[in-house]
Amino acid sequence: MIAITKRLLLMSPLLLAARRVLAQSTDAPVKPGPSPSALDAVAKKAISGYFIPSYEALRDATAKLVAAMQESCKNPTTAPDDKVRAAFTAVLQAWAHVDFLRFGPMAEKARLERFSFLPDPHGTGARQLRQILAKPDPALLEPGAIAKKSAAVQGMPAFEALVFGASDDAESATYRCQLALRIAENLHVIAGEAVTEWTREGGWRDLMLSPGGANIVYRDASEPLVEILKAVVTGLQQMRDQRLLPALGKSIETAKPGRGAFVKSGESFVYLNASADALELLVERSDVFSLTPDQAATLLAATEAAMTDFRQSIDVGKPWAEALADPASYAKLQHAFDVLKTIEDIFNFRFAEAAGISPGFNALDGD
Amino acid sequence: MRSTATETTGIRAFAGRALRAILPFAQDDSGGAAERQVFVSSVRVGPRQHELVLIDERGAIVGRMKLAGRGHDIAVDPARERLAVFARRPGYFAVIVDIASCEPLATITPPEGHHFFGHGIFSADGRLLYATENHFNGERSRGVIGVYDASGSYERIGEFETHGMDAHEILLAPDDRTLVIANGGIETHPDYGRQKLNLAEMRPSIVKIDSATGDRLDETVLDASLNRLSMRHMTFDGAGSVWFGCQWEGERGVRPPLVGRIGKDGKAKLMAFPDAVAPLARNYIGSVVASRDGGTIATSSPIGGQVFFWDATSGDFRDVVALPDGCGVAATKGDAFLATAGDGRVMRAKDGKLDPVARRSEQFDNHLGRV
Repeated sequence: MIAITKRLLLMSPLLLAARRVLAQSTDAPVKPGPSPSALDAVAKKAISGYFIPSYEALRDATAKLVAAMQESCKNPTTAPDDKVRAAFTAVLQAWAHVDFLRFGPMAEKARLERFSFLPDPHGTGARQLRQILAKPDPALLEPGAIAKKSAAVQGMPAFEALVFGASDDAESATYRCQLALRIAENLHVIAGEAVTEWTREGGWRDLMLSPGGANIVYRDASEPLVEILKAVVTGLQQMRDQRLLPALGKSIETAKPGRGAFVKSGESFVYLNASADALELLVERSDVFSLTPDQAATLLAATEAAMTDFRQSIDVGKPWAEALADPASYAKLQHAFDVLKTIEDIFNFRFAEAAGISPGFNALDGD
Repeated sequence: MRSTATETTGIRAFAGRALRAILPFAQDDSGGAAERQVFVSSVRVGPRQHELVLIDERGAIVGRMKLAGRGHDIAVDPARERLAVFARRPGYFAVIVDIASCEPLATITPPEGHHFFGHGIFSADGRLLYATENHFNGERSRGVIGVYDASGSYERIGEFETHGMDAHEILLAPDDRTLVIANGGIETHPDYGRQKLNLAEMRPSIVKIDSATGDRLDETVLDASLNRLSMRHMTFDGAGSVWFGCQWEGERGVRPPLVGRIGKDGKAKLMAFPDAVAPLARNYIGSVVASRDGGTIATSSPIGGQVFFWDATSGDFRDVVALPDGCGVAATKGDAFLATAGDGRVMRAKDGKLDPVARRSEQFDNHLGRV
């Protein structure tokens, strides 16, 4: 009976007109996006204020690590000296400022993976390193030789295992030190290439600053901006899903501290703090919130508050492995995990909507 | 989280069986009493809020249902007026939904150590539901097809190997017996979110499985130089050949072919983009859908913001239209398509032209299905 009534109604001109109005009212308003010049200004600031200085800092930090290793290897010890540790920490912090940037020269020629092969769920790096150390090959200590080996043994995790791996085998100390030195040199080469490829004429800086036309990477002024926005979101997801989640597991009973980042050197929290610093710095230096003038102060305050919450939550006053076994600390780390989601929502939803920018719901993260 | 996978909402004034009863008589834009078409998609409606929506060809919502998490593809069982919406990978639920009322009939969850990849298909007789799953507790992740009793209990009653990793889209061949599965080849493990863990060792494939026995009937792999070309989405053309779309996990500066067709010999023929068009796809194809007449293949690239059309017979590239963040594609009639985008746009695509249909506040997810 109802069906018949509705069918009759559907045919009436009045209802058709009403439906038309209804259909229009369901159309979502389309907010105009920022002007190309505003987008351009943010891209410029991000490049000159963050991307290039960060790669330069990484290049300089790796140079210092090479120097520290050269000095240290004159008199190899089983435990790393303070200068090596300080230099390694500095590289780690500089790396945290760029390791979430999945575009540009670092994302080409497997530089990212070679610099730091993480995550490595199958323990490929550890296995290959064991094989190398079981039969130390002098040829591998030739300059540049390590760069031809698997990505898993030529970067940060391999360096960390060699230097902080707690081997008291004095006999292999010399070989381990030399190999670690070669890896440090390799890191310096990769970081140097990244700087060159960003800054040379026709390099990534030029590409990002000249969208449109024959530019096949950035087709219009919005695309460099989306790249920056994607970088922030990727950075947050990386901290959450790759650095925290694998170690946190589903509960404290199933936590696996060994799956954290840079656990061997005891620098997990240093790394996480540096990652938070990096994202905050990128937001600040790029002035990305300038694209939504009326919301900028609110969004910046929300971001800073959440970042502070994150830092306080990971400040558990215990080493990484102990923290993951202690219920109170574990709960704080879980909270830190959730806070990263909150920050992600600021960029993915609140900012994108306020600025009239679509980071791409489907495009951001394919499937 | 898993226990409350669904929650229905209002807006049922438009839904209900009564609506379906009257839809065939509604006036179509083209004039004449054409059958009203209904499409289905997962959508995002706010931060971490996801729904399933049914829309008509004008982009109006005719049914909606809340989802506990982000949905992906939808399997439709038209004869029994129900569908199955799968959670996006790593997914832990699939909801069987009564189409007319948009009410959940059942929620299925994969067994411990498995997650859904976001795609599934009903058997022709509707008794079984096949879902691609990741078995991730072993030494290495491996793809399996979970077989679920769709006749009432929705229990998992078996599984087939997909002989690869990252089993993604699954189709039922026109013979109603052969299952076709795209093994994307990318290893993932939910402990690491969606991180890709094995890019250097990828080995994607498309396999044909006998649904009666689970036997592998055929396997199609690409040239070793294309091992980073992940085959993920597929469709059958009018001649019964499988078309597939890929995403490239290699260097950004390389422009490999992204679309191909599997011939009767089981070998893949990759279709070339014209030089000027090749960069537009950004090395990524999202959905692959054949037109109703089987003569045109639509392949969307949400990253490139384009939809590409191919001649199913000759394999030639035909047209490209720009649709930023566009991914969902469904066939309407003849060689026309409806396409949806993450910014809420619903568009009609035909003959290389794209016409706006509606702009909604819902953000359309990867796949658009037809009910």
